[in-house]
Amino acid sequence: MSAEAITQKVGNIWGGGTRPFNVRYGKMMMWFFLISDAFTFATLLIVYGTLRFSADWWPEPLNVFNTIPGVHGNSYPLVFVTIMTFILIVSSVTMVLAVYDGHHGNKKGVIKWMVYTIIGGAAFLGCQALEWTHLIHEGLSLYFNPFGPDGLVTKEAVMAGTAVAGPTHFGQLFFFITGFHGTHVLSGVVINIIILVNTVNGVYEKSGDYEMIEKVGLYWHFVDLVWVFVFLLFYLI
Amino acid sequence: MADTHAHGHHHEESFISKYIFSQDHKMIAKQFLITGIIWGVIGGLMSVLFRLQLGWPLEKFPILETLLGHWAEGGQIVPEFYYALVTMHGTILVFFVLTAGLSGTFANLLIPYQIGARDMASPLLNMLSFWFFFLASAIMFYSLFLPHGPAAGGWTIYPPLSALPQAIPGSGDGMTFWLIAMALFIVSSLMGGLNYVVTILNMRTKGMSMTRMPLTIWAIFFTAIIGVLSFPALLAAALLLIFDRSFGTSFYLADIFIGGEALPQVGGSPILFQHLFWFLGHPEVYIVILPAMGIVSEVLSTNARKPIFGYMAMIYSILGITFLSFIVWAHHMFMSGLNPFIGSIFMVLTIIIAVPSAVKVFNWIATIWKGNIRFTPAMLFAIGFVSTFIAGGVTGIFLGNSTIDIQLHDTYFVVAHFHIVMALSAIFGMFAGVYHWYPKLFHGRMMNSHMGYLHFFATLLTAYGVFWPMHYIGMAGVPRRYYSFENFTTFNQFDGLNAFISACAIIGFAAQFIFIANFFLSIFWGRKSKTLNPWNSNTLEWTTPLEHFHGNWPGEIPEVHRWAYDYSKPGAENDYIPQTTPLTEEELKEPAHH
Amino acid sequence: MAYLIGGIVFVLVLVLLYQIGTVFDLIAINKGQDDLYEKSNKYNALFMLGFMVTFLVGIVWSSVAYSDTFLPESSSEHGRLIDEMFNITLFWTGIIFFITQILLFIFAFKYRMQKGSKRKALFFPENDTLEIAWTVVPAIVLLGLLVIGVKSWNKVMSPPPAGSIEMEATAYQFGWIFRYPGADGKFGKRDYKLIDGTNSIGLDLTDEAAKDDIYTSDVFLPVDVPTLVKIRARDVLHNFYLPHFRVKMDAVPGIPTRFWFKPDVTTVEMRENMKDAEFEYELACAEMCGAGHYNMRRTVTIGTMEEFEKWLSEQVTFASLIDPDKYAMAESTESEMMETEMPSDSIMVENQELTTDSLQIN
Repeated sequence: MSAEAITQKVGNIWGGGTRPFNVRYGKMMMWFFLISDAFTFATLLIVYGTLRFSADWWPEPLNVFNTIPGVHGNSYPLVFVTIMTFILIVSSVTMVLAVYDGHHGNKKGVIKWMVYTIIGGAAFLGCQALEWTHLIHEGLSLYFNPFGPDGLVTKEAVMAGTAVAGPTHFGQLFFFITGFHGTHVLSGVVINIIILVNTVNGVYEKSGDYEMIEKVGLYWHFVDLVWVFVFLLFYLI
Repeated sequence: MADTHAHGHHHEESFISKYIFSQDHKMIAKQFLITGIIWGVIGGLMSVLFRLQLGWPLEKFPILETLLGHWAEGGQIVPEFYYALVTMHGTILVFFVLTAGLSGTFANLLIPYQIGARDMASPLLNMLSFWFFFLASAIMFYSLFLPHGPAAGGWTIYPPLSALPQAIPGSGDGMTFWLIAMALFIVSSLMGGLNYVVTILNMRTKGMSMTRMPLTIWAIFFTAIIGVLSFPALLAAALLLIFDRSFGTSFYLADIFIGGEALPQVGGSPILFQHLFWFLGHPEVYIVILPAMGIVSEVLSTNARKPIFGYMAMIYSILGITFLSFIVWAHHMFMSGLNPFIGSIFMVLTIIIAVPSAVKVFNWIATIWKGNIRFTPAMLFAIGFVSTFIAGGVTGIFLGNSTIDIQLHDTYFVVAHFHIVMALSAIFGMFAGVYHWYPKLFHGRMMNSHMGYLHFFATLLTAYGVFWPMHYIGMAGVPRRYYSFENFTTFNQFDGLNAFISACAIIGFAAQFIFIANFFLSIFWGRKSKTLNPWNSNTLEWTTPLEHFHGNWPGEIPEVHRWAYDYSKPGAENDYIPQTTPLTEEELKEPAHH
Repeated sequence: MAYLIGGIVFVLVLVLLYQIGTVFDLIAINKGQDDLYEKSNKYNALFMLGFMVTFLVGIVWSSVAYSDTFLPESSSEHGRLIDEMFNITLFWTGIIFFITQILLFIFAFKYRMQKGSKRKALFFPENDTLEIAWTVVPAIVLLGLLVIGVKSWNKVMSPPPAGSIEMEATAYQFGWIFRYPGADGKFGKRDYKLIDGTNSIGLDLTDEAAKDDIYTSDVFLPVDVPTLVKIRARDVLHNFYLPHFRVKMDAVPGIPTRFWFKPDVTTVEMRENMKDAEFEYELACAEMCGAGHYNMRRTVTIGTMEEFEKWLSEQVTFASLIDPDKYAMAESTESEMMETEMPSDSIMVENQELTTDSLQIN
């Protein structure tokens, strides 16, 4: 066997003239973008950790996230956010199914599962909007945190010196990070809609290539994965 | 996708699609380069302005009042404007010239050419990358003319100074524009970086294995990876800063009494910002220097007619530098109240970087040893690069040592260090690249060699003239970012040296117009290269025709059979063997490098 | 108009220069050399050599010539450690610097392409022994530097020894406020929300420990006694920088920092050493803090313990500045030095004069 043949054989993945692991550029770009975006989220979560652990006191999530919109009472800790998380994970499953049907060139299947995914994403955003509204209603803002050591307090009471407010960082970080994640979900929904329209118009059918579904799928799973971390840090710990 | 461009050159292109919204990597490279040169002149001019103040603090220059109006009342720059100048000088040179201008130009020009691809993986994204950069440039440029001036809190934009308009006028609108421009810049850099990485991994021509790639491509590859991984930290830091500035949050602000009132923010940490900033900021200096290292490796080897020494060691050292660049950021913060134990860890990691850097230097010197050196202007600048990289590198060993840094931190010693090792070296690498690849940028026209020689020696002398004396000033404890030293008896004894530095800076700045004239006049008047391959180089770009068209090679993309550094190989007819030449029978039997 | 003409002349000179360059290029090519570089190689190689000589000789000459403008030997104990570390590093990096620069330029000169020479470059792509050597040798040198570095860093950053005196420096745009703890040796609490026109650091006078805290506008420290400086900032980042004592630490709003050092040369001794009767130790800001960054000078005086105590007793308390009606009276009964009630400003000025006077007498 000549040396040339050996190089050919050894270098067949990285030897040039071919795509390593047969990954096309778009998908690879998406992977690198997601790594980059993961660093952005990681940075924000590190900021969260730093500020939280340098605070003297931090509200107990069970006492903050304890209501369900439309249901009276505040004895449902984490029920609503669990529903939200469940919705997002289900939408990830429907995305997997859309990608699967894409692989098989099943246009109808792709359309069906993409519609479900979009509905899931929109539902998640809707839930988030409800939660934000509720918290704002309770008095949480970038400048004031009503969840003090002695329970829910009002701004007036704090001003009058009769009550102690919680750390303002709680609200700032909550709105910033869930807002940043929500923006990602929103853009994911918009991209999904564009892809859905393209699918309906038969763009991918014509090119015989449903890789686009796979790419947006990667993004969608990533956004889902990030939520798991946000969920862990804000709601569970 | 990119393969569809193979035959794209037949249709006529309109002026706009050819010169403005071009998706051709060569045109985008030229756009980056020319924008970078314009920024370079602006940034250089700023340094001349503040050097006037530092060199002759008591003189009045009426022309300054004519040009700058109330910023130089009575012919002397006011402190607010001085700080705006140093801030914008840093921002412009680091990001707009040495990141976008250097990486943008040579990544775009060389990646498709040297790996044998028709264009970037995504030409559209590539075009957008330039136009986002242009937009960022436009906004940054506009901010120079704001009523309260551009950002003035230092290029490191440490809050609270950058967060509070009460603290310095530039932290008002100027800082807002700075942040918007930098956000766009980050988007541009991300688009470019993703494209570079993916193109290099996926689009190499047949036979172009990873270990046959020229070192330019390796350097750009790691540069792009650093960019993709470190800019997110700045993005997050900048977004949080925007919130602190505009929406009253307290991520970085705590316990501040300014302008006669106590601000409501409590609990934030200015140190947190510094960590986030330097998590980008330190890798950023490698984003600046690595492409220059790649260019210099290529230019030294070609013009010494000798293979680059230790090709694999060069790759490993770049890899080592890339890895280490992410875990040394806190050495910028030894004196910020950092926990001393953490400080000592960062000292160890920082000093370790000197090892791969030293390996690179020794390899470059070994490359020209027993070479057959041809002093083209590019070669002169490459040798100049090695000299400045050594001169600036050794002072890094002082500053990386946190004990010595107690005294040297934020003195002129630091200014000398990073200007020599990063600014000068990177700009020398950039000059080397422009002189070397000019025939590829402008259809086979050559730059004027004698003007190149003049430019080099004028630049080398004045550059050392500016920055070497700064070591002495720094060793005497003089802090940087001082508008005037007259108040301190400890610091005011360097008037002569400061005037010398300023004189060198002005001459050095003027000498750059030799390059600029050479660059622009050669587009029209430069003599045409007699061959496709004027430097007798091995790499693939020299096999492309002089006329540019989208797709690079008219027929098939050539196949590659060997590494890029078969210079002066015994037994070969010429002193170079292009990568496209098949291996001979004897070569196939050798174990080594191809 | 003159500028316009100047600009045009500048452009014309450049164009002319370009044309001259072109002529040189063409002559080189037309002299029968297809390769332009053979002709100019000799001169460029010589210039390289010339540059090396100029550069290296210039470095040696200038570092000798400017050595007396460098800071004098450190006036603090840990500072000498830093200076020693600096010199060790200078020695080793100096060797590396000179060897590599000389090799670089000598090789560039010696191995230039020469006219008519048939010499070929040596095909020498790699050598593992060399590679390992120049990885390991720098690594060992650096390891040595690191060991000394970490050791001295730990020493400098160690906790302040028992018997240290304490002072506090608060930086603001653009100046410093100093506080000594007073007779009880304790600093009173402060809260930035209490800061106003008279209460410059937001001292909380409901705290007993705050009542005797002493305000000063410059620094006075006893010689040979370790001093812990607590550093605070009121608005933006600043840096407490004493060049002669090798002290530098950021002042961060919201996050107190500290640095301890032991001054061991008095101002008077330093004046004798420097042969400069006007000499003063200076405090500067070393972290960009705004338009007045360059203007945050204060003087630091080092004297004997007796001088220090005398000086301290002549200073006023924060309390008397914040609420003269309530505290200045109490002050005068407690302290014999404070005989009459005076407006705060005039007290400061007079005390400063007193300080310098008493020093000169000594």
